[in-house]
Amino acid sequence: MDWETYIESTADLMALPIDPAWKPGIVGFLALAGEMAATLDRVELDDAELTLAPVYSPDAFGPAAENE
Amino acid sequence: MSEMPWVDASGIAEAVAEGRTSASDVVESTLAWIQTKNPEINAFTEVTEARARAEAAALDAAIARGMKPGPLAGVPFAVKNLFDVAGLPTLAGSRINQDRAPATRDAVLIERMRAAGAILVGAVGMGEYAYDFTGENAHEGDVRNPHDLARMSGGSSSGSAAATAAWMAPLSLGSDTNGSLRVPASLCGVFSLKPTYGRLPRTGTFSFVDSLDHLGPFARSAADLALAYDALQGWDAGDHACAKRKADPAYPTLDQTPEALRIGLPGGWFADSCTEAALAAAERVAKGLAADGQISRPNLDEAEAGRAAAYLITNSEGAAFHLERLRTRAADFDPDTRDRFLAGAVLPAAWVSRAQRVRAWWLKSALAAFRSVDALIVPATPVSAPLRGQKHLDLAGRRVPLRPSLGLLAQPFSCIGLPVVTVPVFEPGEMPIGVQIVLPPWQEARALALAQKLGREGVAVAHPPSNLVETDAHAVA
Repeated sequence: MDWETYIESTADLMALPIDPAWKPGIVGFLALAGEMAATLDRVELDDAELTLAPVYSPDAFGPAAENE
Repeated sequence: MSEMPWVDASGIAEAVAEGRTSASDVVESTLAWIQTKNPEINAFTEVTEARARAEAAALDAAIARGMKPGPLAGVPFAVKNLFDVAGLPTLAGSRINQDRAPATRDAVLIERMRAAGAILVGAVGMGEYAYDFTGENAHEGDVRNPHDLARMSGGSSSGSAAATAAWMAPLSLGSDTNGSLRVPASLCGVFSLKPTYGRLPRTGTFSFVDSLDHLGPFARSAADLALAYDALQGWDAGDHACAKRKADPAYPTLDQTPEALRIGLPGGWFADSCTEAALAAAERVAKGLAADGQISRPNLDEAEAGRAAAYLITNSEGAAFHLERLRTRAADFDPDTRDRFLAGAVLPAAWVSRAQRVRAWWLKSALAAFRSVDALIVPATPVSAPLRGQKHLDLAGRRVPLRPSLGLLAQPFSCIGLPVVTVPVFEPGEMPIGVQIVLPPWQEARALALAQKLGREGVAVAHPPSNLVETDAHAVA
């Protein structure tokens, strides 16, 4: 994987200023993240294996909660 | 050499309540000890002397008027500098946050400690923005390990663990996103509690990864840990993740241990990821808890993917939280932290989405394991404290980068929010290593009772650093 090219294009997209001296460190961490992603790919997830999105609950913030 | 301070929270509270000493005397001896020891350990970024003296005097005056003191009467404590302390900018280990306005109110957990009678003696150092397992910090300097100043204290709650290990604070508070209460407890040889996600409110603290951040205490015994935990419990409206659960006091049931405990000591990936010494410590804890030999070796290899999920979620969510600071002040970050945050800011979204699904899958696997065991026992770190400046670890024949790997045995459990008590397992004069006691959600009180059992039997003891023992001063307690 050509992480240097990836960094240049995505950093531009995200408006992140990258000093050339920082690139080797960032490349190392992206490569590590890639290894982690590969570990996740090896997990056989069923299509029904989903995760709940955070759900807004009005009483989590309002007076009702404070009365509990 | 300053006289040794009081080191035992329950002993202090009892002595202050019985009038055998005053909160002011305890605070004075603690401040003097901090002045003596802190220059070599570098735990404190701010010693709140005036405030501590004023609070102690107020407490003594109230006791003199007949007020019944709280369960932590006169106990000095320190907080990781990501906790808001009224009058101080909340640094979170960073240079950038030095520009923040001083906090106008204490964090809720500080308020609760104060309400129980504890006295804040200062804010302590940490890895920048909590993205750290080492205790190294380019801005504040390294927090050094009280057992060997050449070695890492562990992070990111480095100052908290080191202050408690070196008797500068009988109790301290820290945070844990991937292992930051457990890694420094392991390396510095003290106890810590990472409660269930959502148990303790994070109101008034500086976030790292909202969906993974926990707060919790460090102490030198399970009893002190339980005292602090009980003072900290309760719902608060200021933290959207705080669960609306009743407090579940741990101290009253601390000496109640179930007779027939089923202990799980996972092998496989866990065993392959640490040294023989770490495994031996875990084995000792397992045997100490399962007196009748009910130790099983469950296969929990799903943890490897759980840890990978935690890594990617942390990397992405943490970077997103700091995105504006990365855009405008990247050069002001600690270089070790900056490069990892910048990598996290450009991760493919599909990796992170899959990480959330794997996290849920891993939670199901871990909960299933608890059908056949009451507690899982896992080393808190793969090794005892590495040398400061070390960049790699050699684990099972593999050379891995140290910074992300020192917490690899802790990461799987915070990502699914399980309660963990870390206990120190070492002999006097040895470098400490900690072991995690992992239980199902909301069973902190039981986990603390197990830690107490190990303390009673001499398996888990926070032996003081040998250079402290060698002083010719005496313990007031």
